[in-house]
Amino acid sequence: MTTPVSVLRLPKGPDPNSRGFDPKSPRFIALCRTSIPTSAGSESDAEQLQEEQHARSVLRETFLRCLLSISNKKVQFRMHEKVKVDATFGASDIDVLNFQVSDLHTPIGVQKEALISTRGSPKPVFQTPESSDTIERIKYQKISCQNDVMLSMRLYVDGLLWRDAERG
Amino acid sequence: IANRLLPGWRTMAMRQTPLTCSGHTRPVVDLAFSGITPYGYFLISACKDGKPMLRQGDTGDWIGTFLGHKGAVWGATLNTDATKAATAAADFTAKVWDAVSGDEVLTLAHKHIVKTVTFTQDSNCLLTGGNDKLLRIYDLSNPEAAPQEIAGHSSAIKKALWCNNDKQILSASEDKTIRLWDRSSMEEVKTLTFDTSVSSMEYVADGEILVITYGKTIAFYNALSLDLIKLVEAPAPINSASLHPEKDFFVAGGEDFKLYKFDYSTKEELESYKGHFGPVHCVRFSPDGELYASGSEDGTLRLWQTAVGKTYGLWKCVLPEDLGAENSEQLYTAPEIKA
Repeated sequence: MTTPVSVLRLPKGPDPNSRGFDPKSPRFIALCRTSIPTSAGSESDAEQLQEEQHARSVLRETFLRCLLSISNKKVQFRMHEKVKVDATFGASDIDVLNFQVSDLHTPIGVQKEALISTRGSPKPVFQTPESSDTIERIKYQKISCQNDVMLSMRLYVDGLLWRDAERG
Repeated sequence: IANRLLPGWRTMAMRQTPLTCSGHTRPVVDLAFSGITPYGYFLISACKDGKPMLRQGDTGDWIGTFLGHKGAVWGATLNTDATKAATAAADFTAKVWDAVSGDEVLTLAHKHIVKTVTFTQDSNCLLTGGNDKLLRIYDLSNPEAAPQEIAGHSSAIKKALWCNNDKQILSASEDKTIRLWDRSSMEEVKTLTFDTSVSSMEYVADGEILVITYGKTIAFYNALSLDLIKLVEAPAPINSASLHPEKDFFVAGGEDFKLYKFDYSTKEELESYKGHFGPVHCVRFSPDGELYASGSEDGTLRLWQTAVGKTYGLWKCVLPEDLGAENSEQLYTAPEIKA
């Protein structure tokens, strides 16, 4: 008679709501490059940390407002092989992996509705500027303005040009 | 079935309990282990569902899914310290990933389906191969630069590996050859020709051994000279085989859904296991040799113990006098799988 080897439990399966890579895991905490100096440092000045947290939340809010402001506006995406496509921006998913767009003008025709993949990278990470007195140096650059109304902007994420957007 | 020698010289025959890792929804076509890191070792699986997954190597616990490919993923690999992953897919791209955060780091466009990817030991270069019949070497510190290309195969490349301290490249193709290339000169050094295309290839750096499978044969070659060391015949067509790090065993799996374990020196078949519900496409030993993982057409990965009954990972050795004892831990006994 043979006895099956006992197991403590079954291997854990995927989480249906997440792509995993738990940021609270010891490996993630130890190995993930963080570009945020204060949070990464072991001795964090409480005041500096608070300032940095405030700056980061300002940046996050700005980013979300940018996304809201370009909703239903004509935008241009830079794709692989330096292809540029125009579309009307709809919405982003929560991980910023896909953008829902309408009226997508591609080299081979117009797509009424489409999802554009952002390739998952760069993921919007908000860096704080070096010193607290340049807290206004947020991650978008006004290209042109008329009567203080922003006509077009470029959204930079991690120093990389991420988006051009224009008021149509 | 293994026999455990217990105090009093009683023996208890132990039956292998494979650990099933679910999550993929289509066939698993490739898998790879990392080296041993301070956080253990890791396992990546390539799947036709386009979503390669990272798992903890000794338990099979899911860690994350690499999202981004738009087609079946045919090849997947990890660098030695499991900080980077690379995948090859039917969407004509190879991708490099941060294996800690799961973020995509690089997309390398190709002209056809990419089948195989592998890092050099220092993780600075990536070798790819696929249906466009070219081997490509990318410098990951300068990914915008055009890759070096090696032409020669007359049909799709199925597998490409670095060998001889990353100074040479081995490639297996549908053209029924395995070719050895010199990396600096990019010239072909030697070719092995077979009657049929090779189903898998594994390189064992320590000892420079190449493990090749074709038909029902598992063949072992010297990776530097491509001289044949030995051939072993299995009971069924084999899709993949792996040599134990200590080189005392090798395992193989294929079209009859079973896993076979052989003695490397004597070539004797030692054990065989049912469990998968479809052909086995890939099998690999863990870096510590304590277990081997198999990927199947049935969409699952299974982990198998090398020494059946040993306490390791999620497997627990339970002595018969402990079974049923009031203070024994709650243990999970896997349900009987009736194939």
